[in-house]
Amino acid sequence: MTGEDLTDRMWLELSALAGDRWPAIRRAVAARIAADLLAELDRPPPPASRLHRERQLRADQFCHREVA
Amino acid sequence: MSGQGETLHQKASRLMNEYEALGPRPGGESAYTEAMLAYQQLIAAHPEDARLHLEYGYLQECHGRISIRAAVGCYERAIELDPGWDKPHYQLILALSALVDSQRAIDLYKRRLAASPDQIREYRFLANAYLRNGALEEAGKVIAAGRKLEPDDDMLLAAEAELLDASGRREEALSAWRALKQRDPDDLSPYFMSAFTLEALGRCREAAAEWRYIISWLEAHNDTVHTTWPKEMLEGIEAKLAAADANVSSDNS
Repeated sequence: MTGEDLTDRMWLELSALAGDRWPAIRRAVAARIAADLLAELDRPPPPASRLHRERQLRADQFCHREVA
Repeated sequence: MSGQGETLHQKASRLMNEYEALGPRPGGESAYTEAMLAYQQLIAAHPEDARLHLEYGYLQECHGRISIRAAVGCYERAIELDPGWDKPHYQLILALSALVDSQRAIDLYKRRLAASPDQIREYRFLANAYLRNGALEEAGKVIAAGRKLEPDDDMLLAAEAELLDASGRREEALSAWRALKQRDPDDLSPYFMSAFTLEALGRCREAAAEWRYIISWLEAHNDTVHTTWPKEMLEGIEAKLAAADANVSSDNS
């Protein structure tokens, strides 16, 4: 059984146990999942990739100027 | 502003600059139309002139960008008018990525996810926005988070298949597309995706089988107009196969 199967089964069991309160529980869990995800996504990129991106932007600007 | 006694190239160049500056504003579109004609005449007269090809290409690129920007406005309006419809969101993400403006899509769908964290569609949109931006690691995080909410979501599986393919894990991508084909045989996307990947892997016979399925599905659903391109793709692959077969025959003789 994979972690995914386990999550799948856990959700099914939780939804059956929670009955009418399930939508509220799901919303609360979703809010936590999204908050954790967004916090992780908002972390600054590692310096190497940021440097690469800056170089790319500068190169792009140079290319546009040269063509126009 | 037109110059007295200017050459055709000077005129074309001036019109291109006017179009670049004005875009969709008054005078822009007529400058574009005139510039196109001028460059077509110039290239017909000087087909070996690299600079003319560059400028003609740049003119068309400007036009393409302006058209895509207009498309972005249309999709945004469609979303306002019908907030529950997913299709314009996916088109918006694609259009913004074509403008190399994926960051705008990412920021938008992050805000939307923060506002509606229990809506699985918001994870799908954000995962797509990252995928279109080539941000594979972030796309993977969004897919994993969405899976916590809906472990068996087809659209997240489709996004994961793309992610696997883009990461070079092509066998796993093909396996995900196989699963999607079984879930919904009327969704042609996994067939298209498989065809591209199989051809990239040099598995042309299998790629040809995908294109044949696509063509027969479209014909069976009275959509022959959309078979033109798949038929061209199939012809290309069949030509490759024929060339490979001919090579094998000549090696054996």
